[in-house]
Amino acid sequence: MSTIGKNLNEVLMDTTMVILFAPDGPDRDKLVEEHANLSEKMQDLIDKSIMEGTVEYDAAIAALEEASEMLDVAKADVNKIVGVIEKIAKAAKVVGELVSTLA
Amino acid sequence: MKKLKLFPAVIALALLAGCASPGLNKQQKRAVSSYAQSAQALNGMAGQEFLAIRNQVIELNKLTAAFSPTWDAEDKDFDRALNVVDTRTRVKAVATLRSYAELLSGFVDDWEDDRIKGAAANFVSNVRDLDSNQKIDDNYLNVFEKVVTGIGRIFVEKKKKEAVVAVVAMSHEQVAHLCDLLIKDFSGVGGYTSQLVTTASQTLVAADSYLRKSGEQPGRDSAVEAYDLGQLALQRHAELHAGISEAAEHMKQANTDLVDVLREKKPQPFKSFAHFKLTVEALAETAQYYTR
Repeated sequence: MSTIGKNLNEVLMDTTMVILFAPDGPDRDKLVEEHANLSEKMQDLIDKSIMEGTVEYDAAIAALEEASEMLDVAKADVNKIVGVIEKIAKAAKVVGELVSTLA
Repeated sequence: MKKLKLFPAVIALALLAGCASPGLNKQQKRAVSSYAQSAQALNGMAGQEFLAIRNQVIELNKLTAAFSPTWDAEDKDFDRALNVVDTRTRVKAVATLRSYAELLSGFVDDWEDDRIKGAAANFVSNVRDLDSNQKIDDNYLNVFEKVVTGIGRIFVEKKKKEAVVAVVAMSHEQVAHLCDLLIKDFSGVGGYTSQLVTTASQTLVAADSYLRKSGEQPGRDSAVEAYDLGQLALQRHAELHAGISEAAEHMKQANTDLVDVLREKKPQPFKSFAHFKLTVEALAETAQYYTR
């Protein structure tokens, strides 16, 4: 079963690896920005209790799974990071919505 | 006179009855022993890892602060969410699981009854000392203490069996809860290791970006060190922490099966003990690599 913790850890680690191998340029810079956004959201989740099965939780899982698929493509070819940028941005937004329900 | 002669015979009969009385059978002893050894090893590693994770997060942030302009020089929050109190709380929880496993060892390793009682007192004290979110209702502890202090000099094996059956049954829920917390800390978001993943990822990207800039820069050595340490931290999480989480799941399952084994409810429930043992053995090798 997917859990947000496992997915978020993996997506953040995979995004890090893609950034390390990506060529210099605006795409890499943009991905670095989105990586920072996502890691901030992850920081906000530390030591919080997250209720599974809510709309926000399921949306976060779905967004992270989509990001994970694009990351697999980029890991095979680091020039294909444009699709990853969009998915990580979406994941950061949706995880942010989940964070806001915990406050 | 007759009475005096009879007295040693009565004692001897009582002792014989004690020896012959039904204690734990071989399979039960093997199950308890295997579970206790694996649980002690796992929780020893987990305790060390909690401390190591905090140290790594501090080290990563200190290195990043040395080269990254995004770190506020006044901001000394190097351990981020992993403060001393929270870390100590987690270490206490694994110490509780470890003391539980030690107590179980005592029942099958022919410890003197006083030593068993000492181990029981240690476990009880650890449970009482747990934080509220770690503790299940601890009203059972009074009964628990009575059961363990009831082990006497005669009918030892029978009483030991009664005690270990009661100890495992009474502690089952508390042990399962602590296993759940351990699983969350080593794999889930919001768990303790999430801080290491977040910090190591941020550090790696910052160091990589810094090192890509051309020319000599004053923070270059720190960035190189941060890069290496960040990579090692993520690798450690993927291999060691995932293993601890998996082993904690096996411990939880084996703990449930132990209740049934001791009550002789399941004919072949020994798979979970083997899984637990193998996972912990593999984990010990991985841990040795990262702690050398």
